[in-house]
Amino acid sequence: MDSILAGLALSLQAETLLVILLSSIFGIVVGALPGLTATMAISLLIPVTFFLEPVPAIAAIIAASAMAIFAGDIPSALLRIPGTPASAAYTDDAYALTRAGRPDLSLGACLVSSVVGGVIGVAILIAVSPLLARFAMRFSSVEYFWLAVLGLSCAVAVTGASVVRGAISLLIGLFISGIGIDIATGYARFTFGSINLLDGISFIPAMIGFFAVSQVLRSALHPGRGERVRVGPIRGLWRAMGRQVWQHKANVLRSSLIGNLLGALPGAGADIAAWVAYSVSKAFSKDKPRYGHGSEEGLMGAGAANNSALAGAWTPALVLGIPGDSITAIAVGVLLMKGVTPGPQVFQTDGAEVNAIFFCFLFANLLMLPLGYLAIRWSRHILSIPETALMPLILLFSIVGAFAVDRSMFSVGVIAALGVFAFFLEENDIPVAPAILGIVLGEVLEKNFLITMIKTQGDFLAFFDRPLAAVLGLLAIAVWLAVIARSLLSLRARASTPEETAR
Amino acid sequence: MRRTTMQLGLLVLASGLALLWHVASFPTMAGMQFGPAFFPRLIGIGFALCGAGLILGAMLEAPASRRQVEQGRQVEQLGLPSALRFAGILAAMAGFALLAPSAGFLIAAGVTTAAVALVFGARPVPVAAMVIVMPVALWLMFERLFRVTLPRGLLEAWLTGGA
Repeated sequence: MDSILAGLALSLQAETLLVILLSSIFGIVVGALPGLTATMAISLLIPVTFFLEPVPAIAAIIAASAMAIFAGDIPSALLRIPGTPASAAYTDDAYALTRAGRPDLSLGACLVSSVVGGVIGVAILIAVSPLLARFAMRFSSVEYFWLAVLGLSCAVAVTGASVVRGAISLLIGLFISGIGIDIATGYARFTFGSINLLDGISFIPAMIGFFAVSQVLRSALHPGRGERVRVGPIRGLWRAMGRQVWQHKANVLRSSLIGNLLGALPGAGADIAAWVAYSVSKAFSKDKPRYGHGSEEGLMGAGAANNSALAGAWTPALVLGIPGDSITAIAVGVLLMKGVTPGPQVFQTDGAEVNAIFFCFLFANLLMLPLGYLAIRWSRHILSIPETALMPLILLFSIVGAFAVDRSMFSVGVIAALGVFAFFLEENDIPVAPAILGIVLGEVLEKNFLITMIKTQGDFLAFFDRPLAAVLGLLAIAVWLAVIARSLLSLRARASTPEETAR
Repeated sequence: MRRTTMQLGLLVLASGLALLWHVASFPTMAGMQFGPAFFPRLIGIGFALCGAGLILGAMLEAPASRRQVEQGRQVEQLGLPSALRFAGILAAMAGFALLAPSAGFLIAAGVTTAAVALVFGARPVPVAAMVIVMPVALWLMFERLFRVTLPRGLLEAWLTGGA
């Protein structure tokens, strides 16, 4: 109880509330701009969090990500361009409603489902995390090794791209995490004589390079937002929202649960949660033909799922140190940077901070209602921000952010190199998310493997000795067998009908 | 930047083999079963297998690969201005890194802002406004709010006097 009150006090501090408000506005603007993702918003925030106390730092990430995921719905509904990938599942429905003269209905449904989904997600996070933490107290290095393997395996398995390309991304992440002094032997790996690389690639420049600089480079090569935006007046938003909540309560609740569960699955994230919830919502619907042509029901289900997934991803991140998506991968890095080590002991060691994080999550989701309303009302202005002003600002912020962390021009070089590298990956359909999880989990994987090997004097069977470890190990192996089987089937299909595949 | 599946497969395979070759030079540690080369070697093997997988996939879908090559050539022919814009962004970043230590953050950031804005096709008047507003705003944010000392360079005397 004491830690709950302490958490509430921490979350109600003026600095925390101001950070939540400013990060929310930042998240809304970035999320509403087509092409800029929630993860990019968070990567730009990391240098700022470096200079904040732990709770405001995490509050900034939570608020910006929640707002960005909602705000991605605004251009979906008004321009048929998803602001973030998490809005793609229901873009056609949102736009069809707008075209039918009901932008109030479309955006109202997006906003209210995001708020309700987010709040349900937080409630599940608060309820499940302590239980999982109590259970995870029994985990040893073997279980943590298998959890990291399972997390990384899922990240590859659920990637939308080909499994081989997902695996390449994962290996790149693991390679980057291996740069610097080896934790066990002290040998400098892949440093090529550079003192700057002895500590490895710093997390902050890596994230900025991967998400922000690569976005600027992509925009330079494929300029796409030059068109003038015309958005008509939006009226009757509150009335539309009030009716929708009650009408679709079962759908929103079911989708929020699905979203939360999928969010907790490493690598899945808000995008996949929205797609799955949309499909499930359609399967349960009495009005299936309207899906894809202005279904309020499908839109509300998927809209709730993607915001609920954000909270879901925090459960394994906070309790096990295994992030559920790119955003929580960054958050785990920030927590470690702030001296808060995610894991089952986090409720004992940093109970007040964890409870403060829960409260911040709740505040951010509730704040989404008034701020989201204002964002919708001012959407024409947000959508009119020209690329010519936005891109210099993003690049300059990236450079200063990277430089400020260690006051070294080397970091500026790192963001440029990794920006080009991430751009190259995405141009070749290699997803970036598994690489991010690889960077974060690489050390966890290697450290727990080596600890287990030292403890058991090199006995590989020790990885299956404990029942829980055996279950996790078999699950990880099952994921890889499924992944390999899927790849072989896909290869066989392509080999038998090459012409059709080419089309 | 876009490559065919075959080219990508060859690149990944070569990277894996290069990694394995480099890792072979890592020392073995007395009394340690798993030295510093163990994990990187697994990564190298993984790259090589993925590269081989992409090559195999490309060979099995030969007609599609050929079409991709043609599409790739078209992109290269059409994309010269885009490539220049791409290079312009990298040049702006390099310019900042070279200029900031001697000229200071404000001047280097101004030059970088102008370069990037022009790369994206901004008109001179908005560029002039951005060159002043953006560096000063970031300067105030990091110097005053976060207490990070940014390079002062040529403006050292003026900034110190004004602080």
